[in-house]
Amino acid sequence: MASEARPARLAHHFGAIETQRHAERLGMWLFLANEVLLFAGVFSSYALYRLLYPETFKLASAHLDVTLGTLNTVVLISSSLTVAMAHHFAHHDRSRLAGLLLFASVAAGLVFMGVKGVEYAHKLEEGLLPGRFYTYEGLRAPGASMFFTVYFFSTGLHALHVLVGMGVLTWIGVRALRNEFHRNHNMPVELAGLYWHLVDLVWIFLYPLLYLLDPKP
Amino acid sequence: MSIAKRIHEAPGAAATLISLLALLLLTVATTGIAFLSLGPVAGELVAMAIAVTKAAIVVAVFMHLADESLLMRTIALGAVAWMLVLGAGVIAELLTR
Repeated sequence: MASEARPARLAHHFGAIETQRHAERLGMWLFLANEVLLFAGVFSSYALYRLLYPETFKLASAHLDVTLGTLNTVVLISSSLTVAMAHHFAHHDRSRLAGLLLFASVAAGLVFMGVKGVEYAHKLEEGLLPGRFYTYEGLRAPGASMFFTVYFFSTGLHALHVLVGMGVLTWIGVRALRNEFHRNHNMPVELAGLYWHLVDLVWIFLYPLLYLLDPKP
Repeated sequence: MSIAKRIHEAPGAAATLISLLALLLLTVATTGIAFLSLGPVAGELVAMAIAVTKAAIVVAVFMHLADESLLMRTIALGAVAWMLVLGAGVIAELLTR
């Protein structure tokens, strides 16, 4: 098989390919640690306002659509699978299959953003908005607008990460379809995957914290 | 000795599929339990325990941190530790007003 002979790409300043790969992953994990700290601020503000207005947060949370939230959770978890499988196949000399799986993940990202768009449109229509833009008459309580400030800021920041992830996966997916990756060269697939998994991780916590406070059947 | 202690592998197909199944089952579990109204403390503890379990599966299998060097595991755990310090500070400030 021709791909078996394809060499690794060792940069001149590294002594061994394993050292280079370790450095590449280390850089990505440092970046991901930074991302965790960015979202730490968001989760802390959530904790603060939820402790200040525990009952209002429950009532406000009931205005989120659990079905759509659950659907998006399943979509994002499944997209993490396709990204992990893309790395698996890139590592086993199946670059084009890896590319198709990366595009399946991008498609999942599109579904996620579409569902989010439907949710946002619904909130906009009802006036369930942050701060002074909150106009919903059905729930007039201190803290109600703060729930939606936290909701829009946390899900908006997350959605921005989904968009960036979709861009990165598209870029790596195109390269994979050109048969660039093989067992000795698949780090871009791995690093893009790590980023996408982080996006999934954040949603794993946002979902119960926002949607499941007091769901109604 | 190389700082990369072993040949780095991609996650296996079987482990990845089993993880997906576990993640989907845990999603169903956390959603179902939320409708049971366990009470504010118990409900929150169960929801967070399930979320942490799901996160651990993603990190260990999909992100294969379990196979990484001690340095990388320390960075990941360090980020979580700093996040908890920030959260604890915010909550402590609120509870001692």
